[in-house]
Amino acid sequence: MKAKDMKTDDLIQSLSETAQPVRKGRATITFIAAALAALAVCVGIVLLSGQVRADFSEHMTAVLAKAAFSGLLVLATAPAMLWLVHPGRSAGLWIAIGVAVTAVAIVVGVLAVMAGRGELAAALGAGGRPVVFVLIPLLAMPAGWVFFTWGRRYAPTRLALSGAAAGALSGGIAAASYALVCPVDEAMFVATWYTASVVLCGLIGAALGRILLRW
Amino acid sequence: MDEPRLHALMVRSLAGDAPAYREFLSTATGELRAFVRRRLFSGPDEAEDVVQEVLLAVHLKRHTYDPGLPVSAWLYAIARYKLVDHLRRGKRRGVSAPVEAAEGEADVNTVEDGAHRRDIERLLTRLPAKQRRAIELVKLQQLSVREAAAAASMSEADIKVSVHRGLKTLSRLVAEDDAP
Repeated sequence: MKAKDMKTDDLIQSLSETAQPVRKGRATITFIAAALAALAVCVGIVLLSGQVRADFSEHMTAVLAKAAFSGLLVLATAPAMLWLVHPGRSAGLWIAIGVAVTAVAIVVGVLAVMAGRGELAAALGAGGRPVVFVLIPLLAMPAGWVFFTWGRRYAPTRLALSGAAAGALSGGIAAASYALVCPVDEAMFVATWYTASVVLCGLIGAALGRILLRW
Repeated sequence: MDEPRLHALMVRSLAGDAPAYREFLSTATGELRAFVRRRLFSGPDEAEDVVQEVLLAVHLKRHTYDPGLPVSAWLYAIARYKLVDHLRRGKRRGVSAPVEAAEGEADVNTVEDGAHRRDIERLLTRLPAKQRRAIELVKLQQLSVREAAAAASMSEADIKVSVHRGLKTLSRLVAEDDAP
């Protein structure tokens, strides 16, 4: 036991000798850089795939609206992600998650009320269209890699939750990019299936986070 | 925990003040040791390993500390994470302990304590003869795999496999013994 104590003292000594000034508060900046990189990768893949909708210029407003909705999903998740990579920030975390879920629920709710029952039912049925449910998670994979790599540089202590946040973020960014391809412009379709796809990405992220975010 | 003092030390440490950092780590070590020992029942040596893992993590991740928040919350969040990580890894190790890794630990885990030795001998009697012989030679008498193979007239591969299987069985037996 004495020997072990001594080893710990040696460790402290060598750690303190290598103490350098630490630049702090860079998490937000590097996070924004990571998000932009993820967006660039996703948009790049969409452009390279040659699947951008042919009537893009005629439906610019609809495309922007869909991208904006996806952007909302990203903005809703971003604070939680930043909270999660900083150990000991548990108090604000649940507020951040609560605000995120409430904001998305309000927007989807308002869209649902505006759309009325007929359109809601059509959107949920969607005539077998929810190919987004597969394409958005696929497109989210490279974005997820960016966020997981970013997350490991910090110190996420709740791996599943951090993975879920990284997954949802990647899903949001993939959804914004997918808006360039998506031929369906009904608000209700976007609100339900885009959100569901992002939630699916979050679930996949939660499972992967336990393995990929360990440090 | 003396939060204001520790906080002041940490802020100075982040500015590159080596003596403050040393004092911070020493003070934190006392707290961490108590924290880990309260939660880990496998002895002070293993607890000290975890404390060292936490100290290293604290050092490598010190850029994630936000001086606007309590340093103790940050420290304990890291300690808790590393403790859980250690327990998870331990569980995996228990299922399959590669013989090479176990060999590396041989000098640390010398069985000096008479009571421990009796426990192990009692457990060893419950192993198949070949596994028992291999473990006695490699782990208790600390022979190399080659020496043990010669002594037991077994092949080196046979010794490795027997130690490996024996350790697996032993960890299962220990777990059964520990179960309430």
